[in-house]
Amino acid sequence: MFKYVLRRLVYIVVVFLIGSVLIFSLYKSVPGDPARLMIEGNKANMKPAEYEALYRDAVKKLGLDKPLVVQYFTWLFNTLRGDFGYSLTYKMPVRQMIGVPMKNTIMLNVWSLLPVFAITIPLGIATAVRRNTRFDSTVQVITIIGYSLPFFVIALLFIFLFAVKLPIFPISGVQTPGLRGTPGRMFLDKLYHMALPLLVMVFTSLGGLTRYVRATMIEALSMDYIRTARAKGLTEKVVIYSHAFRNALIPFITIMTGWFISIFSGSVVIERTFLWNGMGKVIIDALNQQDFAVSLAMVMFYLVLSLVGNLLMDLSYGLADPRVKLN
Amino acid sequence: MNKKLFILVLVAIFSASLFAMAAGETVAPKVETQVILGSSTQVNADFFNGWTNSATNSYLKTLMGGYETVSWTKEGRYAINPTAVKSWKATENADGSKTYVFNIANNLVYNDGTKITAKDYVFSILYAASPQVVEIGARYGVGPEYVGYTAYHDGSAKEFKGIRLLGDYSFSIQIAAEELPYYYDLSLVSVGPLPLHVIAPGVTVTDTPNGAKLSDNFTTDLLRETVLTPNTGYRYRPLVTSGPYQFESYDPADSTASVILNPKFLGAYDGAKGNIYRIIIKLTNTATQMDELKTGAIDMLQGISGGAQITRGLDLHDQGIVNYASYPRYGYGKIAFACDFGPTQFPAVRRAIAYSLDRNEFARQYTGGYGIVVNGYYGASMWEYRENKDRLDKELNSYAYNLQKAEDELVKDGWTLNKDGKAFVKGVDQIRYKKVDGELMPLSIEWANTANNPVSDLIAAMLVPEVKKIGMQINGTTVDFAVLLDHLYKDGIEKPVYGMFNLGTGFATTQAIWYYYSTDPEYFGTYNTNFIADKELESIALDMKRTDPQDQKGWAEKWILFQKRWNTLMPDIPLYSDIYHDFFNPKIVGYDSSPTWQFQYAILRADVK
Repeated sequence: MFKYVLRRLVYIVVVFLIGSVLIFSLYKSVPGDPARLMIEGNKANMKPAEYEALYRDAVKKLGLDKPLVVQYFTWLFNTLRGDFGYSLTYKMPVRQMIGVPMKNTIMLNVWSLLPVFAITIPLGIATAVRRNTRFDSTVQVITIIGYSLPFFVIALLFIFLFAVKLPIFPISGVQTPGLRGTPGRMFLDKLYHMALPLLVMVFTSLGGLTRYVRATMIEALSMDYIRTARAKGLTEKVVIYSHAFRNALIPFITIMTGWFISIFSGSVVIERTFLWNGMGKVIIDALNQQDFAVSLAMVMFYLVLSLVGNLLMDLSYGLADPRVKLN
Repeated sequence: MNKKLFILVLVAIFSASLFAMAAGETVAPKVETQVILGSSTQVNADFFNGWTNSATNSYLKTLMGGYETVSWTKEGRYAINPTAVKSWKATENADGSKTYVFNIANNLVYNDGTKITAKDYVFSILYAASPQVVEIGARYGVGPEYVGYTAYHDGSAKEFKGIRLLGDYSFSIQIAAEELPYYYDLSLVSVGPLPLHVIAPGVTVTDTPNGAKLSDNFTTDLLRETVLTPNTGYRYRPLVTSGPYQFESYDPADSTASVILNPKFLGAYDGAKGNIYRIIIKLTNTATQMDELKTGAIDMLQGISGGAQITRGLDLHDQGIVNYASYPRYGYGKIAFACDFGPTQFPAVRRAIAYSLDRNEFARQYTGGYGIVVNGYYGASMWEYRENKDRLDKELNSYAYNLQKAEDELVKDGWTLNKDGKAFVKGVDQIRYKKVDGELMPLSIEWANTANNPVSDLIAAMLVPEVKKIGMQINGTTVDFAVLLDHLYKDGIEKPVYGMFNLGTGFATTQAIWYYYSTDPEYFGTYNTNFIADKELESIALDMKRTDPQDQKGWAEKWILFQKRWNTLMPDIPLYSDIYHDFFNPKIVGYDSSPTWQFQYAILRADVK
């Protein structure tokens, strides 16, 4: 086990280095001049010599005057030290500007995980147990709608229904502008603003996960050991939750790992539609504005997260299924 | 049991929703006099000049700044600010330089009650021009026109020769001879106070025969602490300011910022002190911004363009939910030409393209009827245009759609051959040719455009097939906008390819056209993006620059001359100038905006019923 983890950690380092070279090269091959973008707004009515001096400063500051290899190693060394560079859009270090959107994204995702799992797991099990009943068919129809409709359509529909026609929730934002009050009141207001994006996230997640749990449970319930368990006279509750569900957990762990990673990565559609200032919005804005320090830092962060997530997933397999040997 | 669990989960979700609804009702803010401006551009953490140029942030920065020596007026001109300046004098020196002496009022204070003296004005210049601010990553355009700037800015002199501290309430600025005469010279001496006691505590401003200087404890480390400290530095929380409004809050989680009235403010150049207690800027989404206005989540949307959005806003107006103000954009969407190579180097070709496009229909289709067409390098709201509209409309060529005139231009310019060098026969030959430097040049133009751009689509549909009829070929290539700019500026481009581009442009308040149309190669690229080297156009522009600041009539005459020459050369084809709409809650009264009098100025004079 220890050897396995050690080997996987070495593998993570190697993949990280290869990934860093590829990603860095990819960003460097994108057309455009980051130094010019950095100072573009200062041009109006500035003398060419002054602009040129500014440009030279920007090139130097961004390290673009150095050979590509030097630029790569400087970037890699700084990244490993936790210095992710300077955001051209926010005009501040990436580390300084990334905190708030990351916090918002984690908050929204963690809050959405609770209802999603609380609904989908029991619902998936219930539909699997009552396969081909009217209840099962109804859930299938509802979940397929949630599964098939694009995020943004559902988001706009929910806004129209619950924020415009029935003005229950705010249309967008994280907090009521101008609101002053106790921390408790501010927290409640934040929850109030989070309600509609949360509803959309939960609604759109129900379809896929419920159907996934249903499928794995149906497969597990058809196994011989379930028949054996029933023949032994075990209660249906024990058969379903102790025998069938535990075996159905293994493929479910893959999904859980994906969700774990997604806690840190925002949904571009949800965040842009509801103006929830999170990571999805930050990354797409960074790409649109060629703010490569931000997007590079985030891509590398997600690379590490994926590698660590995969390791955790493999370790979880061993915990969930004693037949899986990690060596 | 399963049933019970399922019902329990549903009840929990329902309760949570009800709780959220109830929470929303109980936490609604107490609205006093407050205006929430919705903006699709995110407010960032910068509230001090020198870093980002976000238009949204600049609204708040302008509202927090005050007592500048020279103000921008509603009429689109510069004027001495009588609230801040008690008296002033401009003296032309023997060496050609010009010295402005300002005696400021002695009753000005910051919002924290600290007296504003001449030292604060001198400090604002010395700070912005100092080498220390470059070190902390700030960029200011302050000072290059003043005597002694270079030596002070590069650190070789501690004194700024052209700046003098003459007393507690008096200082002077000397503009270098090479910058004069300059029509906008007043704009060069527009200086506001900066709180020395906050940005550089312990630093002193003194006067010497060689100019004003800051004490040695004005260091980069000091500025890093007072200006750049995250969340508390002056860049992020400018708590001491001189303007009509003062900083209240910025919430990075929500990209929302607010300012509140400064009760100690004595008034702007026209005495305006502000009436609305709190002004908030909130991020909005283009898709839902009108709904936010309708539901009252925001009170105002500013600078709305595009037929669909404007129509929705006007529908709200018809329902009595909003009022609106409209004005033409201070800029336009255009076709820009490279005037230094290929067929587009010839004015006749550019004019032929202009004749081949029905610009009125183009503008109607693109703006949904909320746009106009201009015929020169101007916006319809510029005072020069407004005061000379009839004459300009008469004397400038509107290039009304006319393929015969387009063809005549080409023929007169020598585009009369075919690919074999023989006479071009309409209907037989596809592309016209012309002998240039002994070689045949095809009338084929490479056009760089960007993806998902309705303007590109309209050009492809409305212009490309038309020019084909007169023997011209336009080959469109869709590129990334950054690539388009590289080719427009010829930045790192060894052999230019594209002769035609489509993009938008905005005008600055003081248009430095002498840079934009200079024939000096040093200005080619980032300034003279057309690479046009027309001596006559440049000469008119330079003559404009040298106009006496008091001679408005002379300036206007030269401005018209410039537009006429530009209209003949057509380095760009102006396609459309949007009619911007500001939609606002009817509770807001007295809001009178224009392209040169935007939100930050108009809201100061508005009130809430």
